[in-house]
Amino acid sequence: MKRIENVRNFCIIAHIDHGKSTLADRLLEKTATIAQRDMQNQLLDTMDIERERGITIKLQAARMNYKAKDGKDYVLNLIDTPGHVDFSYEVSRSLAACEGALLIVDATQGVEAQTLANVYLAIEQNLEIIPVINKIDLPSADVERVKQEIEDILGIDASHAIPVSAKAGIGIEDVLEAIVEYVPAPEDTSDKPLRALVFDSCYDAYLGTLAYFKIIDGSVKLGDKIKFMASKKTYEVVELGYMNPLRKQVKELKTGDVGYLSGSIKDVFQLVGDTITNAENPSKEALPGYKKAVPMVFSGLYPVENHEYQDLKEALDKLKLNDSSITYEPESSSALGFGFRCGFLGMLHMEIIQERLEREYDLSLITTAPSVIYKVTKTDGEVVMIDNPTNLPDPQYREKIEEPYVRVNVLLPNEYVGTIMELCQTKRGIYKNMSYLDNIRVNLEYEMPLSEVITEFYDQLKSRSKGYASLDYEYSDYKRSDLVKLDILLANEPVDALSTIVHKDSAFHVGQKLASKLKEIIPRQMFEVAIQAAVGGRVIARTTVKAMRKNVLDKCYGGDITRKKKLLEKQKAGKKRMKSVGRVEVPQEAFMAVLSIDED
Amino acid sequence: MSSLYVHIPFCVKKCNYCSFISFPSKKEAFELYFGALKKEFEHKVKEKLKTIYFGGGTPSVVPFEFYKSFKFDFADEYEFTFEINPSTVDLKYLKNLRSIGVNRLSIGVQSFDDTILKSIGRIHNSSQAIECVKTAQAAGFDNISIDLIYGLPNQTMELWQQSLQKATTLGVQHISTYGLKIEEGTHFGKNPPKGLPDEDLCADMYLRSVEVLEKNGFNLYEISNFAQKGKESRHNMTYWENNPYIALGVSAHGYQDGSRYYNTSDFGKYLKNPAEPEFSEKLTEDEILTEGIFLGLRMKKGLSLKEFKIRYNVDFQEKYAYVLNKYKDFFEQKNGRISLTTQGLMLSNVILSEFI
Repeated sequence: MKRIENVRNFCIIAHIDHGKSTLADRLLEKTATIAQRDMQNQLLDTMDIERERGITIKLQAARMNYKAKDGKDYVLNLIDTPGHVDFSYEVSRSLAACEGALLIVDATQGVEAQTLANVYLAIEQNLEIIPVINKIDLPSADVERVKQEIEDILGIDASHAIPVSAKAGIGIEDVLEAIVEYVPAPEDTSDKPLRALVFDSCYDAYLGTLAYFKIIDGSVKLGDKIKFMASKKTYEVVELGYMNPLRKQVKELKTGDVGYLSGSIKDVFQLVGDTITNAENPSKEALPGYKKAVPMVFSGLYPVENHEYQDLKEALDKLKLNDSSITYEPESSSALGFGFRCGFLGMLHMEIIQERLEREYDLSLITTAPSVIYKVTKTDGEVVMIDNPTNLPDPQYREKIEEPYVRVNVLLPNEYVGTIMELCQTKRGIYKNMSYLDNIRVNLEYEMPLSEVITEFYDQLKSRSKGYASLDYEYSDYKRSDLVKLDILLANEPVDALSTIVHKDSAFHVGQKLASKLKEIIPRQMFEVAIQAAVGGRVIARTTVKAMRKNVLDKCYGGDITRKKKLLEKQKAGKKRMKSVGRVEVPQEAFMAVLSIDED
Repeated sequence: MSSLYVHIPFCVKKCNYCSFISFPSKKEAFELYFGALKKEFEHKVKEKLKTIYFGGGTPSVVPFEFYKSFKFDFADEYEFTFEINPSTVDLKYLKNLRSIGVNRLSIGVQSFDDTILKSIGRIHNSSQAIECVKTAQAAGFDNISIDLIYGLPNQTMELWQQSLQKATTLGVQHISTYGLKIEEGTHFGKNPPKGLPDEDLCADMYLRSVEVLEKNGFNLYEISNFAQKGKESRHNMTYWENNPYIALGVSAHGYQDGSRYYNTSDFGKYLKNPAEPEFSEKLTEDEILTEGIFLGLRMKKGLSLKEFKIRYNVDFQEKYAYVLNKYKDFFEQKNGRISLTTQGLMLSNVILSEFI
């Protein structure tokens, strides 16, 4: 097989916090892709939210030039990957564009649940895996133990594992050498017609829709007529380049290269997974695309101001280009007006999307409590999928409700097994297996309703294990459960956006907690507001927000009318941030209250 | 005819809750300041004065000689109010004030409980306050107002009731009751006091004021003000009726010819340029209208629908039907006037913000 000897495509896989982005920065620095003075910590994390939260959400690509010890010049293409369980879809996309992967393991933490999950993905893709043991400069680092774990748990030969400290800059050159030595060069099929796999896209105000791709066969030049094979759309390449890590324009890209192009694509359509070919010399067969990401968590997104509905729609259309895993469909709520029912990969994904919509598109949103998709069999035999609790058929029309279960893997030190098993039981987990990975580390397996996993499970897992337990889960199947719809009434009016589906046994507990949580959140109004939780029309909990008694400027202001007016304007602005549900002004966070009822 | 406010920004000591501009009393500063004030006075005051109000700060910390030289041209039936602090005046000072035309006093009593007075940083005690009222009466004043504050740290309903009762026995004609508000930049803002009464207790204290004072012949005529019949503050009514007033002195706010203006809060700047407001803006018709509403509805008598129509060329009931309906329990209408109920006054921020 002919290969392009001077190109290496690789990615970095790691558990969140194991130092992936820091290592990527060092590689960019060492190869002088970025001058040190221009270095902004964690360069590949371009979104503000990523830097603030210290996590990678979107995959990014960067091209480096490296002169190896063998005296030859190489082009190294790095594709960054996210580490959180919600984003395994993004991980699989970046893996498909590579021939090799750096597997980072924290020398103080060892192998964790997501490391395992991502390594399996990499093995499926036939990637060459190079173990890198990071944070060796820390006093609690135990390189030998971690090597042993890599061999025992992951079944990967760790004899070539490279000890590094990305933070202190130790071992960086060894990593670059290992990439050149172990990662296979991409196959050279430059004589074939162009085939490039689009692994990402985004919308740029000046350039229109941009496609990020890896060239599998052939080459592409500036000015070429190209065609997206699935969507059958044809464009002329008006800008071509690679990420360095900012966009750098070139005239041509060849087999094995990773780059981007602009074709002045003004409409917004689905690019990711599509194959780019040459319109005049097209390939016969498109590349296999990606497995479609399956949203697991659904919630309603509504503009606080009803007239922003159209803006929200446009923002979602554009965001979808950049994150094809979100799904959305228009829905309406009697309490919240018009909005969208959106599907997300997980809770973190949901938070990120909401935050991006608010920041990047300047919207003010209400997110309703997340729900999973329930499978409801009606008495007439019809089966309906319900992703919004409001739409649950009434009990007399229901034969049964099934809910999605996930297989949960928790990796944890053995001293926390007791408390975590207890937690899994309270979350309706079904015990499956427990295995010792070594003397200390335990893998717990449970089957658990997804709805329990997405509400507070992760936070409680972390707090009960002092941060040591790690979590991974994947969909398993639907199981029948005894579920009921819990309704909330404000001032005697049911508020559809506050309904949730809960297990019958916990309805009372959740109802009480939710009612008192809402009492804390909803400010006093001009009249007394009764908050009731009800199941099937029967009230199971009730609290009251007392009427506001006094809100008046009764201070001596003399002739300073401006100050009086400012105060009234402030009063008005405060009200605007709330949603009027019937006569009651409800703050945004009330719609997510069910997620935090077990706090403190 | 004009109304005039003059700000006297001097105090012996700043109180813990106060956010008004004031400076420590010094003779040199008085001289400079009154020099500037007179310039501003000559520049701005051209008409006969129907109401005058000297407020502060503490106007009474400034020796009488500084006030002597103002040449006021009074209208018939004028009202001239002067704010005093109980521990800063004596009979002679008060008689002197009468000699230049002062005919109404506003005394900053705040409370008749010595522990509370101390805790809020007042320099006088309860018996000095009582003495002060008697001295004022001896000097010939028959229109006296006292200020009281509720919602103070560690103030119980009982203590508030005692202060209210005491106030009604002194032979004064007007009582203002203000709710404590902790503001940024004040001593309390930086050192939040403990033991503040909550919203419910403050609401009850307000209701108790209405009950006790009205029973004793002091009628609520504005959110914070009670007066015997005919003794309402005419100067303050100017504000609430959205009528013009001239303002003099550092940080003072005025409203003339449809423009709102205020002077600098910078003492040095003011001395240099006393006749030049720091900020001035012409109000739009809309702004004048909304101000007319939110000021007018502070008064117990509210707005006259007919006068409103004539003055603003707007049918109040028609234009604000939405607000009137939304808060209908908090409005009352009689004799061609629309006004807030006592409950409505207590929640007026919520209601009045709807007009903005």
